[in-house]
Amino acid sequence: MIPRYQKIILWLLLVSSVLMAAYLIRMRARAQDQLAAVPDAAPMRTPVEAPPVQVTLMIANDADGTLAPVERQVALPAEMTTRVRALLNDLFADYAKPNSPHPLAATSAVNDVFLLPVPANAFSHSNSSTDNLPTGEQIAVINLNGSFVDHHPSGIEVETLTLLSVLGTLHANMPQITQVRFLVDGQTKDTLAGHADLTRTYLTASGVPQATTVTTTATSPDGDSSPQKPPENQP
Amino acid sequence: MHWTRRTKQTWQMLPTLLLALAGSWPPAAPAQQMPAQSASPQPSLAIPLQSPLPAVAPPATELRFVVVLDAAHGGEDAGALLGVGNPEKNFTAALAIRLHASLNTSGIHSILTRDGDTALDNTARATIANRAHAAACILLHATSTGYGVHLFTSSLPTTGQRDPGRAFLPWQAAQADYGTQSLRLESDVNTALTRLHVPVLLARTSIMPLDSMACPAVAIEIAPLDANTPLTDATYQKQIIDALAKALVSWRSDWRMQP
Repeated sequence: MIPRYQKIILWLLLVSSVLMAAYLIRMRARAQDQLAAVPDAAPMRTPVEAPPVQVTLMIANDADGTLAPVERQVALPAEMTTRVRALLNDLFADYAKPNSPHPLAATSAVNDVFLLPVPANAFSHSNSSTDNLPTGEQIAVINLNGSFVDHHPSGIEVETLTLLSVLGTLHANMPQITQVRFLVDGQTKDTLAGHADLTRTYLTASGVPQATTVTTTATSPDGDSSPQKPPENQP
Repeated sequence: MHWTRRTKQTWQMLPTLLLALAGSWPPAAPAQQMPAQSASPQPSLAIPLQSPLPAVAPPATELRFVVVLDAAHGGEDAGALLGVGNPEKNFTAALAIRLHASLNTSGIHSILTRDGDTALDNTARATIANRAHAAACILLHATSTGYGVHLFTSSLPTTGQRDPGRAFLPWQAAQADYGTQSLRLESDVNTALTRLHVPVLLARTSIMPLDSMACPAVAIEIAPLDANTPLTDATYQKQIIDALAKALVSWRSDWRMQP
Protein backbone atom coordinates (compact mmCIF):
# COMPACT_ATOMS: atom_id res chain seq x y z
CA MET A 1 0.00 0.00 0.00
CA ILE A 2 1.47 3.35 -1.08
CA PRO A 3 1.29 5.96 1.56
CA ARG A 4 -0.85 9.02 0.86
CA TYR A 5 2.00 11.53 1.11
CA GLN A 6 4.02 9.62 -1.50
CA LYS A 7 1.08 9.73 -3.89
CA ILE A 8 0.85 13.49 -3.41
CA ILE A 9 4.57 13.93 -4.06
CA LEU A 10 4.38 11.80 -7.17
CA TRP A 11 1.52 13.83 -8.55
CA LEU A 12 3.31 17.08 -7.76
CA LEU A 13 6.45 15.91 -9.57
CA LEU A 14 4.38 14.83 -12.54
CA VAL A 15 2.58 18.15 -12.74
CA SER A 16 5.82 20.12 -12.35
CA SER A 17 7.43 18.05 -15.11
CA VAL A 18 4.58 18.86 -17.46
CA LEU A 19 4.77 22.52 -16.56
CA MET A 20 8.56 22.62 -17.13
CA ALA A 21 8.18 20.89 -20.46
CA ALA A 22 5.58 23.43 -21.53
CA TYR A 23 7.81 26.27 -20.35
CA LEU A 24 10.78 24.90 -22.32
CA ILE A 25 8.70 24.56 -25.45
CA ARG A 26 7.52 28.13 -25.04
CA MET A 27 11.08 29.45 -24.52
CA ARG A 28 12.33 27.60 -27.55
CA ALA A 29 9.62 29.09 -29.71
CA ARG A 30 10.46 32.61 -28.41
CA ALA A 31 14.20 32.14 -29.13
CA GLN A 32 13.36 31.08 -32.67
CA ASP A 33 11.25 34.18 -33.13
CA GLN A 34 14.11 36.41 -31.89
CA LEU A 35 16.63 34.80 -34.24
CA ALA A 36 14.28 35.23 -37.16
CA ALA A 37 13.93 38.94 -36.34
CA VAL A 38 17.76 39.59 -36.72
CA PRO A 39 18.68 40.61 -40.36
CA ASP A 40 20.60 37.87 -42.02
CA ALA A 41 23.97 39.00 -43.34
CA ALA A 42 24.66 35.78 -45.07
CA PRO A 43 24.48 35.82 -48.87
CA MET A 44 20.99 35.05 -50.02
CA ARG A 45 22.16 33.61 -53.28
CA THR A 46 25.03 31.37 -53.99
CA PRO A 47 27.87 33.29 -55.72
CA VAL A 48 27.86 32.95 -59.44
CA GLU A 49 31.19 32.46 -61.14
CA ALA A 50 31.69 35.49 -63.42
CA PRO A 51 32.46 34.53 -66.98
CA PRO A 52 35.74 35.96 -68.33
CA VAL A 53 35.29 39.04 -70.47
CA GLN A 54 37.65 40.66 -72.92
CA VAL A 55 39.31 43.80 -71.58
CA THR A 56 41.88 46.16 -73.05
CA LEU A 57 44.88 47.01 -70.90
CA MET A 58 46.96 50.00 -71.93
CA ILE A 59 50.45 48.68 -71.29
CA ALA A 60 53.24 51.22 -70.87
CA ASN A 61 56.74 50.75 -72.20
CA ASP A 62 59.55 52.65 -70.51
CA ALA A 63 62.05 52.06 -73.29
CA ASP A 64 60.19 54.03 -75.94
CA GLY A 65 57.64 55.88 -73.82
CA THR A 66 54.59 54.41 -75.49
CA LEU A 67 51.27 52.93 -74.46
CA ALA A 68 50.07 49.88 -76.35
CA PRO A 69 46.64 48.23 -76.11
CA VAL A 70 46.74 44.57 -75.07
CA GLU A 71 43.63 42.38 -75.08
CA ARG A 72 43.08 40.05 -72.12
CA GLN A 73 40.37 37.67 -70.92
CA VAL A 74 39.62 38.56 -67.31
CA ALA A 75 36.82 37.53 -64.95
CA LEU A 76 35.40 40.71 -63.48
CA PRO A 77 32.71 41.14 -60.82
CA ALA A 78 29.43 42.73 -61.80
CA GLU A 79 29.45 45.51 -59.20
CA MET A 80 31.04 48.59 -60.74
CA THR A 81 33.49 49.73 -58.04
CA THR A 82 34.85 46.24 -57.43
CA ARG A 83 34.99 45.81 -61.20
CA VAL A 84 37.23 48.88 -61.58
CA ARG A 85 39.37 47.74 -58.66
CA ALA A 86 39.76 44.25 -60.09
CA LEU A 87 40.63 45.63 -63.53
CA LEU A 88 43.36 47.94 -62.18
CA ASN A 89 44.78 45.28 -59.89
CA ASP A 90 44.97 43.03 -62.92
CA LEU A 91 46.86 45.79 -64.76
CA PHE A 92 49.32 46.19 -61.87
CA ALA A 93 49.77 42.43 -61.64
CA ASP A 94 50.78 42.52 -65.29
CA TYR A 95 53.45 45.13 -64.52
CA ALA A 96 54.75 43.00 -61.63
CA LYS A 97 55.59 40.10 -63.92
CA PRO A 98 59.24 39.43 -64.75
CA ASN A 99 60.53 41.21 -67.87
CA SER A 100 57.71 43.74 -67.70
CA PRO A 101 58.29 46.74 -70.00
CA HIS A 102 57.19 48.98 -67.12
CA PRO A 103 58.18 47.19 -63.91
CA LEU A 104 56.22 47.94 -60.75
CA ALA A 105 56.37 46.33 -57.33
CA ALA A 106 54.31 43.19 -56.82
CA THR A 107 52.69 44.77 -53.78
CA SER A 108 51.19 47.60 -55.85
CA ALA A 109 47.42 47.53 -55.57
CA VAL A 110 44.26 49.57 -55.44
CA ASN A 111 42.67 49.57 -52.00
CA ASP A 112 39.33 51.11 -52.89
CA VAL A 113 37.48 52.77 -55.73
CA PHE A 114 34.68 55.28 -55.24
CA LEU A 115 32.46 56.41 -58.10
CA LEU A 116 30.66 59.74 -58.11
CA PRO A 117 28.44 61.32 -60.74
CA VAL A 118 29.89 64.27 -62.63
CA PRO A 119 27.58 67.30 -62.54
CA ALA A 120 26.52 68.93 -65.81
CA ASN A 121 28.96 71.77 -65.32
CA ALA A 122 31.47 70.71 -62.69
CA PHE A 123 33.60 73.82 -63.06
CA SER A 124 30.82 76.39 -63.23
CA HIS A 125 30.68 79.07 -60.55
CA SER A 126 27.05 79.89 -61.22
CA ASN A 127 24.25 78.64 -59.02
CA SER A 128 22.10 77.46 -61.88
CA SER A 129 19.98 74.42 -61.01
CA THR A 130 21.01 72.73 -64.26
CA ASP A 131 24.66 72.71 -63.19
CA ASN A 132 24.04 69.89 -60.73
CA LEU A 133 22.19 67.60 -63.09
CA PRO A 134 23.93 64.27 -63.61
CA THR A 135 25.43 63.73 -67.03
CA GLY A 136 25.83 59.98 -66.91
CA GLU A 137 29.57 60.47 -66.60
CA GLN A 138 31.42 59.41 -63.48
CA ILE A 139 34.48 60.50 -61.58
CA ALA A 140 36.49 57.67 -60.06
CA VAL A 141 38.41 58.28 -56.85
CA ILE A 142 41.13 55.64 -56.78
CA ASN A 143 42.71 54.90 -53.42
CA LEU A 144 46.15 53.39 -54.03
CA ASN A 145 47.99 51.50 -51.33
CA GLY A 146 51.10 53.04 -49.77
CA SER A 147 53.32 50.32 -51.14
CA PHE A 148 52.40 51.38 -54.67
CA VAL A 149 53.88 54.84 -54.09
CA ASP A 150 56.78 53.77 -51.87
CA HIS A 151 58.16 51.34 -54.44
CA HIS A 152 57.29 53.20 -57.63
CA PRO A 153 60.31 54.13 -59.79
CA SER A 154 61.05 57.86 -59.74
CA GLY A 155 61.08 59.90 -62.95
CA ILE A 156 58.80 62.10 -65.02
CA GLU A 157 58.44 59.62 -67.86
CA VAL A 158 57.90 56.51 -65.77
CA GLU A 159 55.41 58.19 -63.42
CA THR A 160 53.50 59.82 -66.26
CA LEU A 161 53.28 56.48 -68.05
CA THR A 162 51.81 54.82 -64.96
CA LEU A 163 49.10 57.45 -64.70
CA LEU A 164 48.38 57.36 -68.43
CA SER A 165 48.20 53.57 -68.32
CA VAL A 166 45.56 53.70 -65.58
CA LEU A 167 43.63 56.44 -67.37
CA GLY A 168 43.84 54.73 -70.74
CA THR A 169 42.72 51.37 -69.33
CA LEU A 170 39.70 52.96 -67.67
CA HIS A 171 38.86 54.90 -70.84
CA ALA A 172 39.02 51.74 -72.95
CA ASN A 173 36.86 49.58 -70.68
CA MET A 174 34.63 51.97 -68.71
CA PRO A 175 34.01 54.97 -70.96
CA GLN A 176 31.44 56.37 -68.55
CA ILE A 177 34.33 57.16 -66.17
CA THR A 178 35.63 60.41 -67.57
CA GLN A 179 37.62 61.82 -64.66
CA VAL A 180 39.96 60.32 -62.09
CA ARG A 181 41.42 61.51 -58.82
CA PHE A 182 44.05 59.65 -56.84
CA LEU A 183 44.47 59.07 -53.11
CA VAL A 184 47.18 57.15 -51.31
CA ASP A 185 46.07 55.26 -48.21
CA GLY A 186 43.03 57.51 -48.07
CA GLN A 187 45.05 60.74 -48.09
CA THR A 188 45.91 63.22 -50.83
CA LYS A 189 49.55 63.14 -51.90
CA ASP A 190 51.47 65.72 -53.90
CA THR A 191 53.31 63.43 -56.28
CA LEU A 192 53.43 59.79 -57.26
CA ALA A 193 57.17 59.35 -56.69
CA GLY A 194 58.52 62.88 -56.68
CA HIS A 195 57.34 64.07 -60.09
CA ALA A 196 53.84 63.39 -61.47
CA ASP A 197 51.19 65.55 -59.82
CA LEU A 198 48.63 63.53 -57.86
CA THR A 199 46.61 66.51 -56.67
CA ARG A 200 44.90 67.09 -60.01
CA THR A 201 41.75 65.66 -61.49
CA TYR A 202 42.76 63.77 -64.62
CA LEU A 203 40.67 63.18 -67.70
CA THR A 204 40.63 59.55 -68.76
CA ALA A 205 40.72 60.66 -72.40
CA SER A 206 44.32 61.76 -71.76
CA GLY A 207 45.30 58.10 -71.64
CA VAL A 208 44.56 57.63 -75.33
CA PRO A 209 47.88 56.48 -76.75
CA GLN A 210 48.10 58.44 -80.00
CA ALA A 211 47.96 61.76 -78.18
CA THR A 212 50.44 61.05 -75.42
CA THR A 213 53.92 60.61 -76.75
CA VAL A 214 55.77 61.16 -79.96
CA THR A 215 59.18 59.63 -80.27
CA THR A 216 61.71 61.22 -82.55
CA THR A 217 65.18 60.05 -83.33
CA ALA A 218 68.02 61.35 -85.40
CA THR A 219 67.24 60.63 -89.01
CA SER A 220 70.05 62.19 -90.95
CA PRO A 221 73.74 62.38 -90.14
CA ASP A 222 74.13 65.77 -91.80
CA GLY A 223 71.83 67.40 -89.32
CA ASP A 224 69.08 68.14 -91.82
CA SER A 225 66.53 66.01 -90.10
CA SER A 226 63.12 67.54 -89.70
CA PRO A 227 61.96 66.70 -86.24
CA GLN A 228 58.32 65.94 -85.69
CA LYS A 229 56.29 68.78 -84.36
CA PRO A 230 55.06 68.28 -80.86
CA PRO A 231 51.38 67.46 -80.57
CA GLU A 232 49.26 70.58 -80.56
CA ASN A 233 46.26 69.01 -78.90
CA GLN A 234 46.00 68.36 -75.26
CA PRO A 235 46.51 64.72 -74.27
CA MET B 1 50.62 149.90 -51.18
CA HIS B 2 50.40 146.42 -49.80
CA TRP B 3 48.37 145.29 -52.82
CA THR B 4 50.86 146.95 -55.18
CA ARG B 5 53.88 145.21 -53.57
CA ARG B 6 52.25 141.74 -53.89
CA THR B 7 51.29 142.39 -57.51
CA LYS B 8 54.85 143.41 -58.24
CA GLN B 9 56.21 140.23 -56.64
CA THR B 10 53.80 138.14 -58.68
CA TRP B 11 54.90 139.80 -61.90
CA GLN B 12 58.55 139.14 -60.94
CA MET B 13 57.81 135.45 -60.34
CA LEU B 14 55.86 135.01 -63.61
CA PRO B 15 58.86 134.31 -65.91
CA THR B 16 60.15 131.70 -63.49
CA LEU B 17 56.73 130.04 -63.34
CA LEU B 18 56.41 130.02 -67.12
CA LEU B 19 59.89 128.55 -67.52
CA ALA B 20 59.11 125.83 -65.04
CA LEU B 21 55.87 124.97 -66.83
CA ALA B 22 57.63 125.00 -70.20
CA GLY B 23 60.31 122.68 -68.79
CA SER B 24 57.78 120.11 -67.73
CA TRP B 25 56.10 119.99 -71.18
CA PRO B 26 56.00 117.58 -72.86
CA PRO B 27 55.84 115.31 -69.82
CA ALA B 28 58.72 112.85 -69.75
CA ALA B 29 59.02 109.49 -68.07
CA PRO B 30 59.63 109.72 -64.33
CA ALA B 31 63.07 108.20 -64.72
CA GLN B 32 64.04 111.14 -66.92
CA GLN B 33 62.21 113.72 -64.80
CA MET B 34 63.82 112.84 -61.54
CA PRO B 35 67.35 114.16 -62.25
CA ALA B 36 65.92 117.38 -63.76
CA GLN B 37 63.76 117.95 -60.71
CA SER B 38 66.62 117.45 -58.32
CA ALA B 39 68.74 119.92 -60.27
CA SER B 40 65.96 122.50 -60.53
CA PRO B 41 65.91 125.15 -57.83
CA GLN B 42 62.08 125.25 -57.86
CA PRO B 43 61.00 121.63 -57.73
CA SER B 44 57.59 122.46 -56.26
CA LEU B 45 56.65 124.51 -59.29
CA ALA B 46 57.19 121.67 -61.75
CA ILE B 47 53.62 120.41 -61.58
CA PRO B 48 53.26 117.08 -63.38
CA LEU B 49 50.67 117.55 -66.11
CA GLN B 50 50.17 113.81 -66.54
CA SER B 51 49.83 111.03 -64.01
CA PRO B 52 53.15 109.14 -63.78
CA LEU B 53 51.36 105.80 -63.27
CA PRO B 54 51.35 104.60 -66.91
CA ALA B 55 55.05 105.22 -67.26
CA VAL B 56 55.95 103.14 -64.18
CA ALA B 57 55.96 99.76 -65.94
CA PRO B 58 59.45 99.44 -67.35
CA PRO B 59 59.22 97.83 -70.77
CA ALA B 60 62.94 97.22 -70.81
CA THR B 61 62.71 94.33 -68.29
CA GLU B 62 60.02 92.58 -70.33
CA LEU B 63 62.22 92.54 -73.40
CA ARG B 64 65.28 91.26 -71.55
CA PHE B 65 66.17 87.72 -72.54
CA VAL B 66 66.54 85.80 -69.29
CA VAL B 67 66.65 82.04 -68.96
CA VAL B 68 65.76 80.36 -65.67
CA LEU B 69 67.51 77.06 -65.03
CA ASP B 70 65.74 74.96 -62.43
CA ALA B 71 67.79 72.05 -61.12
CA ALA B 72 65.17 69.66 -59.77
CA HIS B 73 65.10 68.38 -56.18
CA GLY B 74 67.71 69.32 -53.57
CA GLY B 75 68.18 69.10 -49.82
CA GLU B 76 66.15 66.28 -48.29
CA ASP B 77 64.53 65.60 -51.65
CA ALA B 78 67.15 63.51 -53.42
CA GLY B 79 64.96 62.61 -56.40
CA ALA B 80 65.61 59.40 -58.30
CA LEU B 81 68.64 57.27 -57.54
CA LEU B 82 70.70 57.20 -60.74
CA GLY B 83 73.32 54.84 -59.41
CA VAL B 84 75.16 54.03 -56.24
CA GLY B 85 75.76 57.32 -54.44
CA ASN B 86 74.46 59.37 -57.36
CA PRO B 87 71.15 60.98 -56.54
CA GLU B 88 69.24 62.99 -59.12
CA LYS B 89 69.63 66.23 -57.13
CA ASN B 90 73.43 66.20 -57.54
CA PHE B 91 73.28 65.43 -61.24
CA THR B 92 70.78 68.17 -62.02
CA ALA B 93 72.65 70.78 -59.96
CA ALA B 94 75.96 70.01 -61.71
CA LEU B 95 74.28 70.09 -65.11
CA ALA B 96 72.56 73.40 -64.37
CA ILE B 97 75.83 75.03 -63.30
CA ARG B 98 77.60 73.83 -66.46
CA LEU B 99 74.73 75.00 -68.65
CA HIS B 100 74.73 78.34 -66.84
CA ALA B 101 78.42 78.78 -67.69
CA SER B 102 77.86 77.73 -71.29
CA LEU B 103 75.02 80.23 -71.69
CA ASN B 104 77.17 82.99 -70.22
CA THR B 105 79.77 82.41 -72.91
CA SER B 106 76.98 82.67 -75.49
CA GLY B 107 75.91 86.00 -74.04
CA ILE B 108 72.69 84.71 -72.53
CA HIS B 109 71.79 85.83 -69.04
CA SER B 110 70.59 82.89 -66.97
CA ILE B 111 69.37 82.49 -63.41
CA LEU B 112 69.81 79.35 -61.33
CA THR B 113 67.07 78.47 -58.89
CA ARG B 114 69.71 76.70 -56.81
CA ASP B 115 73.45 76.27 -57.19
CA GLY B 116 74.02 73.95 -54.26
CA ASP B 117 72.35 71.20 -52.28
CA THR B 118 69.60 73.42 -50.94
CA ALA B 119 65.98 72.51 -50.37
CA LEU B 120 63.61 74.54 -52.50
CA ASP B 121 59.88 73.92 -52.75
CA ASN B 122 57.92 74.19 -55.96
CA THR B 123 56.34 77.50 -55.01
CA ALA B 124 59.75 79.10 -54.53
CA ARG B 125 60.97 77.76 -57.87
CA ALA B 126 57.96 79.11 -59.75
CA THR B 127 58.26 82.43 -57.91
CA ILE B 128 61.87 82.84 -59.03
CA ALA B 129 60.91 82.14 -62.64
CA ASN B 130 57.87 84.41 -62.62
CA ARG B 131 59.65 87.33 -60.96
CA ALA B 132 62.44 87.11 -63.52
CA HIS B 133 59.93 87.51 -66.40
CA ALA B 134 61.92 84.73 -68.01
CA ALA B 135 61.98 84.20 -71.74
CA ALA B 136 62.59 80.50 -71.18
CA CYS B 137 62.33 78.21 -68.16
CA ILE B 138 64.30 74.98 -68.31
CA LEU B 139 63.54 72.35 -65.67
CA LEU B 140 66.35 69.81 -65.44
CA HIS B 141 65.61 66.25 -64.32
CA ALA B 142 67.38 62.93 -64.72
CA THR B 143 66.32 59.30 -64.67
CA SER B 144 67.79 55.88 -65.16
CA THR B 145 64.61 54.73 -66.95
CA GLY B 146 64.39 54.80 -70.72
CA TYR B 147 66.89 56.23 -73.17
CA GLY B 148 67.83 59.60 -74.58
CA VAL B 149 66.28 62.89 -73.55
CA HIS B 150 62.62 63.22 -72.62
CA LEU B 151 61.08 66.63 -73.27
CA PHE B 152 57.90 67.50 -71.44
CA THR B 153 55.54 70.42 -71.74
CA SER B 154 52.54 70.99 -69.54
CA SER B 155 49.41 68.96 -70.20
CA LEU B 156 47.23 71.91 -69.23
CA PRO B 157 44.84 72.90 -72.02
CA THR B 158 46.42 75.75 -73.93
CA THR B 159 44.43 78.96 -73.84
CA GLY B 160 45.88 80.14 -77.13
CA GLN B 161 47.56 83.50 -77.34
CA ARG B 162 48.68 85.13 -74.14
CA ASP B 163 46.54 88.09 -73.16
CA PRO B 164 48.90 90.87 -72.02
CA GLY B 165 45.96 92.65 -70.40
CA ARG B 166 45.47 89.90 -67.85
CA ALA B 167 46.95 91.06 -64.58
CA PHE B 168 46.57 87.76 -62.75
CA LEU B 169 47.00 84.14 -63.70
CA PRO B 170 45.79 81.12 -61.71
CA TRP B 171 48.78 79.77 -59.82
CA GLN B 172 48.04 76.10 -60.53
CA ALA B 173 47.53 76.75 -64.24
CA ALA B 174 49.69 79.75 -65.13
CA GLN B 175 51.46 77.69 -67.78
CA ALA B 176 48.24 77.36 -69.79
CA ASP B 177 48.76 80.85 -71.25
CA TYR B 178 52.25 79.89 -72.43
CA GLY B 179 51.39 76.51 -73.94
CA THR B 180 52.02 77.50 -77.55
CA GLN B 181 55.33 79.21 -76.75
CA SER B 182 56.43 76.24 -74.66
CA LEU B 183 55.77 73.89 -77.57
CA ARG B 184 57.89 76.09 -79.84
CA LEU B 185 60.68 76.18 -77.29
CA GLU B 186 60.42 72.41 -77.01
CA SER B 187 60.66 72.19 -80.79
CA ASP B 188 63.91 74.22 -80.75
CA VAL B 189 65.41 71.95 -78.09
CA ASN B 190 64.25 68.89 -80.00
CA THR B 191 65.89 70.15 -83.19
CA ALA B 192 69.19 70.84 -81.44
CA LEU B 193 69.28 67.42 -79.76
CA THR B 194 68.26 65.58 -82.90
CA ARG B 195 71.09 67.21 -84.84
CA LEU B 196 73.49 65.73 -82.29
CA HIS B 197 71.90 62.30 -82.77
CA VAL B 198 70.42 62.16 -79.31
CA PRO B 199 67.11 60.25 -79.24
CA VAL B 200 64.31 62.46 -78.03
CA LEU B 201 60.91 61.67 -76.61
CA LEU B 202 58.27 64.39 -76.65
CA ALA B 203 55.39 64.19 -74.23
CA ARG B 204 53.12 66.21 -72.00
CA THR B 205 52.77 65.85 -68.30
CA SER B 206 51.45 67.50 -65.18
CA ILE B 207 54.26 68.27 -62.76
CA MET B 208 54.99 71.12 -60.42
CA PRO B 209 56.41 73.73 -60.66
CA LEU B 210 56.04 73.55 -64.45
CA ASP B 211 52.31 74.27 -64.36
CA SER B 212 52.82 77.37 -62.20
CA MET B 213 55.46 78.99 -64.39
CA ALA B 214 54.41 82.07 -66.36
CA CYS B 215 57.04 81.63 -69.05
CA PRO B 216 57.74 79.33 -71.98
CA ALA B 217 58.80 76.23 -70.05
CA VAL B 218 60.12 72.78 -70.87
CA ALA B 219 61.00 70.00 -68.45
CA ILE B 220 64.04 68.11 -69.69
CA GLU B 221 64.57 64.63 -68.28
CA ILE B 222 67.90 63.10 -69.21
CA ALA B 223 68.15 59.31 -69.41
CA PRO B 224 71.11 57.17 -70.46
CA LEU B 225 71.92 57.55 -74.16
CA ASP B 226 71.81 53.79 -74.70
CA ALA B 227 72.63 50.57 -72.88
CA ASN B 228 76.36 51.32 -73.12
CA THR B 229 76.35 55.07 -72.42
CA PRO B 230 75.32 55.96 -68.90
CA LEU B 231 74.34 59.37 -67.60
CA THR B 232 77.81 59.86 -66.17
CA ASP B 233 79.41 59.76 -69.62
CA ALA B 234 81.23 63.10 -70.03
CA THR B 235 80.83 63.21 -73.82
CA TYR B 236 77.11 62.60 -73.55
CA GLN B 237 76.73 65.33 -70.94
CA LYS B 238 78.66 67.78 -73.13
CA GLN B 239 76.45 66.90 -76.08
CA ILE B 240 73.37 67.75 -74.06
CA ILE B 241 74.77 71.02 -72.73
CA ASP B 242 75.87 72.08 -76.21
CA ALA B 243 72.47 71.21 -77.65
CA LEU B 244 70.61 73.11 -74.95
CA ALA B 245 72.85 76.17 -75.37
CA LYS B 246 72.30 76.12 -79.14
CA ALA B 247 68.57 75.71 -78.67
CA LEU B 248 68.41 78.71 -76.35
CA VAL B 249 70.48 80.81 -78.74
CA SER B 250 68.01 79.86 -81.44
CA TRP B 251 65.11 80.62 -79.11
CA ARG B 252 66.55 84.08 -78.42
CA SER B 253 65.89 85.01 -82.04
CA ASP B 254 62.52 83.23 -82.18
CA TRP B 255 61.27 84.46 -78.85
CA ARG B 256 60.47 88.06 -79.78
CA MET B 257 58.31 86.90 -82.67
CA GLN B 258 56.13 84.72 -80.44
CA PRO B 259 52.55 85.80 -79.77
